Amino acid sequence: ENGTVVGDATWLLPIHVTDMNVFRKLRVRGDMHIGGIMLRLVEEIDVTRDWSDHALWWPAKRKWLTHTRSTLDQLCVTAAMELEFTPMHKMARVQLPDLQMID
Amino acid sequence: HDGLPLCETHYHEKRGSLCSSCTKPISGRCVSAMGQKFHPEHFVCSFCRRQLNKGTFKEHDHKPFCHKCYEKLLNP
Repeated sequence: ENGTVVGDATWLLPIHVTDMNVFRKLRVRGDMHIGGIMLRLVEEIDVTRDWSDHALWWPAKRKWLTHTRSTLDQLCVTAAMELEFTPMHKMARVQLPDLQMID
Repeated sequence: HDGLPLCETHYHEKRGSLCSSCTKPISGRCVSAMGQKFHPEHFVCSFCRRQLNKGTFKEHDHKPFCHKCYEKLLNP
């Protein structure tokens, strides 16, 4: 089906692009690198913008996949995982010792 | 151009001096790369959108990247 060879060791990796609220499912294999997956993702989204602050976040493990030379196998990302592609710098609200709140 | 009057856009199109990014004529400085021409400010990295200098960019799939993004995305 869909020209896919059964048993080619690929699976669909769902990725949520949080700030655009876009979902994409990329066909991946365990030996693919994080960097290549990020590149394919932005090519599929096809929106011209600065992506340099975006990185893949693994919500279930609560960790950034910032080592872009690692493969999915090395990071133990398997099928049925959902990842997020999200900006690394976010707004934070801090309460100072004088109880003043700043953003 | 060849003795024919042309509007600015078609004149630049004939001369091959339209920016590949914005498709508008290039009258001032021009960057030639990957067989195309660009306004210097429109010749940018495909990932971080920062302006590139000719000769110091990396190419992948006919798209230009800065060294930093190329290392990050394409150099495992």
